[in-house]
Amino acid sequence: MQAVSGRVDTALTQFQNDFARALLDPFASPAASIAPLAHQPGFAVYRNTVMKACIDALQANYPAVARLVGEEWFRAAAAIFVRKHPPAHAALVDYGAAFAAFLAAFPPAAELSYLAGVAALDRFWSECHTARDEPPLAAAALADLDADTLGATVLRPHAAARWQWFADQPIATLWQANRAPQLAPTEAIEWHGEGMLLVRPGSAVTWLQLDHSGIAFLDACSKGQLAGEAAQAALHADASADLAKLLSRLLEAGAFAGTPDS
Amino acid sequence: MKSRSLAVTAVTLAALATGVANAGPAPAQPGADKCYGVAMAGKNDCAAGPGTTCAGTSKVDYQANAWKYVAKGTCTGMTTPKGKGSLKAM
Repeated sequence: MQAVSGRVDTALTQFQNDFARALLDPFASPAASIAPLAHQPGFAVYRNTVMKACIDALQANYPAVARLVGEEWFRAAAAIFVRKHPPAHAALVDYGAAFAAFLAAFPPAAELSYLAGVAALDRFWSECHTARDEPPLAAAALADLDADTLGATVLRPHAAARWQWFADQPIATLWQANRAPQLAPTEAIEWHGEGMLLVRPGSAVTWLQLDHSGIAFLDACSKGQLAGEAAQAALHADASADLAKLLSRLLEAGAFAGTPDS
Repeated sequence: MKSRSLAVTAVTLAALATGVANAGPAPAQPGADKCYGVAMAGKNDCAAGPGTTCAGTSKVDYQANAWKYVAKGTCTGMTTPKGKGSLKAM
């Protein structure tokens, strides 16, 4: 029985692989197992529909990128991406994890050097949106700790928190201006490094820009370092960092998880 | 658990404590009705391409053409250290 079911699985897997290949490459001649299907006119309609759904999903998941380059450019690039990276599972809200890396290596995007960074923040938004819910740590929960105890506390970043430092480019400003155009800066964008944190303490994704020290603080916290060690890391990134203001902002944003480990 | 020795100055620790003291409450967020269905992505859309319907066309709408697209979005209005953000016209 085992052998029979094994053979069936193999045949089914082979069929599915052939089917997927025929879907993604209209110009290759389909495998024998698929040929009768693939030559039906309906198969081409289905192929287009699958492709459209994937491109639609990418456009929905990467709105800031799409706004930057325009719909025609975006969808043409997305069609190439889809063939290289078809969805790995059915939930398309999670589709496109590799899109930022794809754009970074995509020759027509070479002059848009900031595009991959903007895509990374669009991806963070999706991850933040779909991360598990978790109550954020309220400042009140730390209020009774003396400074030494606070310094020896581990502040665990919230499950939905995503952050990154972009060394040379104002990725946070560019992303925000295209993700939420009402927040676009009215003056010229200064071309320097920026950090961004996305959080979802309740049900809505929000974000705040952080400087290098803020990102270093969160990086240290995510490695399980103590708050005092994270403060050192922040000062190492920027000796003039305002730690009090940084921690206030992070707590108010809901950047940490409910109960601190101490 | 927290017996690791900390080589952190009192000034640094005091700054953290000040940060806690100064932090206000997190702003209220919408309640429990988090939207799981992302409106656009993955909706059951049977159209096979612009102007078509389920009755459908078998025309290939999404072929990988030799690259011929010029970015026309907001990047064209953006000034970068390397000049305008747009691609050169081809």
